[in-house]
Formats: sequence, structure tokens, C-alpha cells
Amino acid sequence: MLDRRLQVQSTRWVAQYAFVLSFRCPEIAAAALPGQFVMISVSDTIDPLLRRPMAFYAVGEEDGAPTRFSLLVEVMGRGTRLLSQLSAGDAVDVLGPIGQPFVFPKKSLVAGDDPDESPTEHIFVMGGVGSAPFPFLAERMQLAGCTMSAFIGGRTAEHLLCAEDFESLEVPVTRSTDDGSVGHHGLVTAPLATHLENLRARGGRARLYSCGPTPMMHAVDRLALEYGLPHQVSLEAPMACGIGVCLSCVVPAHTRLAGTASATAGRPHVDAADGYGRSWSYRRICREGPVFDTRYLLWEGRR
Amino acid sequence: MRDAGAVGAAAGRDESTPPDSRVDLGVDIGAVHLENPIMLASGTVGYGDEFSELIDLSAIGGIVVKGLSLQPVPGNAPPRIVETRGGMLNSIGLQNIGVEAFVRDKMPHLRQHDTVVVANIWGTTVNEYVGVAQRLDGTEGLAALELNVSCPNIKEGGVSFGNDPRQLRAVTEAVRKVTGMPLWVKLAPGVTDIGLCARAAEDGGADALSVMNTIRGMTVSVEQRKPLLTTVYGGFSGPVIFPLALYLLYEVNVATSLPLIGIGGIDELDQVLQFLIVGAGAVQIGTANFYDPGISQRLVDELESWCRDEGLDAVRELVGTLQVPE
Repeated sequence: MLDRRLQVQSTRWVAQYAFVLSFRCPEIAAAALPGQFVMISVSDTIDPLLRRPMAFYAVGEEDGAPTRFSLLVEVMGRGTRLLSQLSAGDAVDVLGPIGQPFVFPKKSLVAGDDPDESPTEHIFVMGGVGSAPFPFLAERMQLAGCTMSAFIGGRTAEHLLCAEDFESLEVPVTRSTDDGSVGHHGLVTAPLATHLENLRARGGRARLYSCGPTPMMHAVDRLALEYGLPHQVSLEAPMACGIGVCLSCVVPAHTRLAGTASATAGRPHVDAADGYGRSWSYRRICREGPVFDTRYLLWEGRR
Repeated sequence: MRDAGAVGAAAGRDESTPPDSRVDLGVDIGAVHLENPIMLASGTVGYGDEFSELIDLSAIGGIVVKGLSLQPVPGNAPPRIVETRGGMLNSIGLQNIGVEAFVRDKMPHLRQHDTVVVANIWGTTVNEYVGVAQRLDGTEGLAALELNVSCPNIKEGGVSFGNDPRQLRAVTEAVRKVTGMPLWVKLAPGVTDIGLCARAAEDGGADALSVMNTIRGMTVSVEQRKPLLTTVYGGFSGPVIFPLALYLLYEVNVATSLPLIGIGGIDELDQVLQFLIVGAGAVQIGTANFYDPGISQRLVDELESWCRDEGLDAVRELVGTLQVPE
């Protein structure tokens, strides 16, 4: 994790409420993995005081080495509005990369994948600015030879983000809007359910990855349970530091699964609740997350 | 401000600075010697392991670890913080790994750094404080105990220890009896007369006083007519509380002769200097560690430069130099 003062390279609006903020920093770009994020300062004054967590949206290369990264930001409040007013050359403080990335096996390593069978389909489900981490994930998955599809939801056509990014990688996109202004009229989980049903009918395998409003992720997880699919989510919470010390961004989670010995994220961790003999504790989204395997989360149907 | 590029700049200092211009940054808080007066406040740096990835802990005067209790505590249900103008409210719920896990899992790493380690401790009864102090007494590499007295005494109707001079003296005395370690008491700000509390801690056997802990605050969602923290109120911290903290330190300095540690809202050198002038032998950086993790190491460098520019041979010369108008 590095703390660097960086100059904004460019600000590019991609929707009425969303823009892409780009930086050049070889150290951070080279270390960044899909699903990880940075903490970015939004003001050089004490108001707003805290940095904001933003997922890596893309990492760019020069001469074959990662040197640049960008963040997809939706204007939601004062902090993100201030970020939207930055121009090329303005300096901000950036701490990162932070957190546990999405985990995905290379095509040849997926258990049960037979060269003669259809490959595991990696399905991204996203709502609003929850789309931010997926184009980077798709890019890295493509390099690994993965088969992918994207289900994008938003309130209106203006709130559907990243569709072009997936299309440029030839990842099939299914759009849903609350107002029906584009694509399926309704929740993103409706076409997803149809897709999973078809997949099951032809004996296909899939893995789910979601990020967006909590009710959306809950609904995706219910489908994951119903169809018996692995599901990773990227969570967000009010966060002061991003370092793991303020203990603000916690989520209740099991520290291990029944019958397994390994802790989440594959490293030993001292859990606050261990002394109570409980099987869960508050896990830090910035440290043990933001990506969690939903089997660990104390979500409805998962308790 | 917030020039993150300065992090790590201290590494080359020894070679580049002529020996005759070195400033003595050392300070003594009673029997505890600090290489410099910049410490990291409890609750803002965990147990040091995460921060050691970002800054050189050996360059800092000292670190006060997250408040420890007898048993591990899971903490409050989220959301746990709310940002306010120039500050924040927290309601973490005293989450910690417990004193046993701290000694076993965290002290070995902390001992590797050439910095003073102070354990912040708390309980909900006097006996719990005593239990934690007994467990920590004589721990290798631990320099002092800091009592967090801003928690409710469940045997005395939930009034917090720090709000009642009688209880404050009792808990300090009880801990004093079971440990020979230097004992610091971190005073709670929400009292009518903090001088009374300072004297109560002194009478109970405190060796130094940390001024101050967070003060309670709240904020409400106008839309939902609900507090933004589920616990209604939280600990208020950040740059906006600095003048309050400085004033309370001034009051405490008038009331006692104990060494003092200034805490509250520091995020630039000027505030460090103000605390020292008013009478703090050292300071602790708190909330600023969240939004500017390199700040403490940078403040050490800035303090040294400032002293050199001012012609001070030792930072101690600045402590308690406040000139109050007649």
C-alpha cells in the first residue's frame, strides 16, 4: 500500500452523473488487482475531511508495463462533486492499492473444466456505480481466457455504466432499467434468473460476481444459493482510513466455513469475537474485503 | 499540508544534516523517555501492524494501541462513523482483540520497532481495569499504561468513570496498586471542571495525564428524523475540536503538576507547537492518521526544522512557555 500525491491526468464524463478520473503512477498501477480500491482525498481543506474509497476501473499500460490507472466516479454527494471539478494537473492524495481482489481461476485451472465441454461462465451483475470494478476484472479475465457475461442495471439509461467497456471486450451485455428507458424494464435479477435457468438446462457451469445496491446483491445471492453457484461480492461502507485501523467499515462474517481450516483471504487473523466462541466476527471491508465470498457473509439464507 | 510525498523523507536525514545542527527532540513524560514528542493516539493506529506498512514506527515518539479489555469485544453494529464538517463521529463500540491476544500476537511485532509502546486499557468495572493492568504488568517492551476512563461503570449506574472525580480516583488507585508501570490517565472532556478530574487522577496515583479523549456528539438525518449513528451519539473528533482540547490542557496544567500529553484535532505543526507551549510534554495524533497516514512522521521532521530555524537546541525548551497576560 502506497500513499502518493498524484496529478490528475484527465477527467472524462461517461454519463450524466459519472466520470472517469485518470492518474499516472507506475507503482500503484503495477500493484493493482481487480476488486481492489484506493482512498482518494477530495479536498485540501478539512471539509470534507475524509478520503473516499474508489475501486480501480481500469489499469493502462505503456510499453507493456502498467503505468496508469483510472477510477469511475458517480456524483453522489459533496465529496464526489468536488472530485468532478478536478482538472488535469490538479493534485490529490491517493492511498492504495487496498483490499482483497476478486478471485478467479484461469480457464485451464477451473475444476471440472474439460476442454471438450463448455467452459465455466463468469457472470458479472452490477447496479449503478457498482459497475466500476468490472471492466478491469473483465480485462484481466480475458487475458486468462475466461468466458464472461455482464448484467447491468440502473435507474435509467443514464445510470447504466460500463456497457461499452464490456462490448469492446466482446463480453455479451444484458441491460435492465427501473424505468424501462433501455433494455429489460425492471430489476437486473430478472434476466439473470432466466439466463441461469437456461444455463442449468444445458448443464453449464457459472460463477457470479456482483456489486451494487445491497438489495441487488442479496437478490443475486439468493439466485446463487438456488442454482448452487459460487458468488463473490464487492462491499462498501462508510470508511475513515482504508488502512484497517479505524474499524468503521465492518461487516459480520464467518471467519471460516464448516469443515474447513482456512480463514477468509487465506491468512490467519485474530478475530474480535473468537473469545466469545462465536463463529463470526466483524471483518473489515478495507482489509478482509471489499470482495467477499458470500458463503462467509451473515446474509439472509446464509446464517 | 498533506504532502504525502514527504513520507519516508526522514530516511536520508542523518546523512544530510550536519551534526552540529541536530536538535534534541527528546522529551520525558515522567519516567518514560520519548525520542520525540509525536505519538500516535489510541484507536487510530490499531496495534501498529497496518501502520508499519506505511510509516517508520521507529521515527515516531510512541504509539498508544487500541484500547484493551480483559475479554475480546466485537464492537457495535455498523454504520460506525459519520463524517461531519471538519470532523467525524465514531461509535466503534470499543472493539478489540482482548489483552491476552494482544500480548501473544501483537507485542512481538511492536517490540521490533524502536519506539515507545503504551497500552490503552479500559473496563466496565474497577476489577476489569485491574485485571487488564495485572496481565500487562511487566510486559517486555511495554512502556506505560493509559487508562481510558470514558466508559460507563456498570456497577455505578453506567456513569462514566471519567465524569465522576470519586470514581476516577478509585479506578486510578486500584490500578496503581497492581502495577509499577508508569500510569497515564486519559481524561474525558465532557465535564464541568476538568481540573477536579485531573486532581482526582493525580491523587489516585497517576504519573501523567492525556488530555483529551473524544467528546460526545450526534448528527441527525433530516429526511428520516433519525440519528445517523444507531447508538444516537458517538465520539466527536477531528480538526474542529482542537481549541477545546487546547483549552482543557491549559485548565489541567493549572490544576496539577503532572506531565501532560496533548490530544485533540492535531493535523499540522502549528497545533503541535501550541500544545507544547501551553504545557504538553508530548502530543498524540489521532483522527488525522485516518485521512493523512504519513502525518506523524512528517510532523517529526517539521518540528525539527522549526526548532532549528528558531535556534532551539532542544524541543523541551518550548514546553510550558505560555505567557499569560497579567
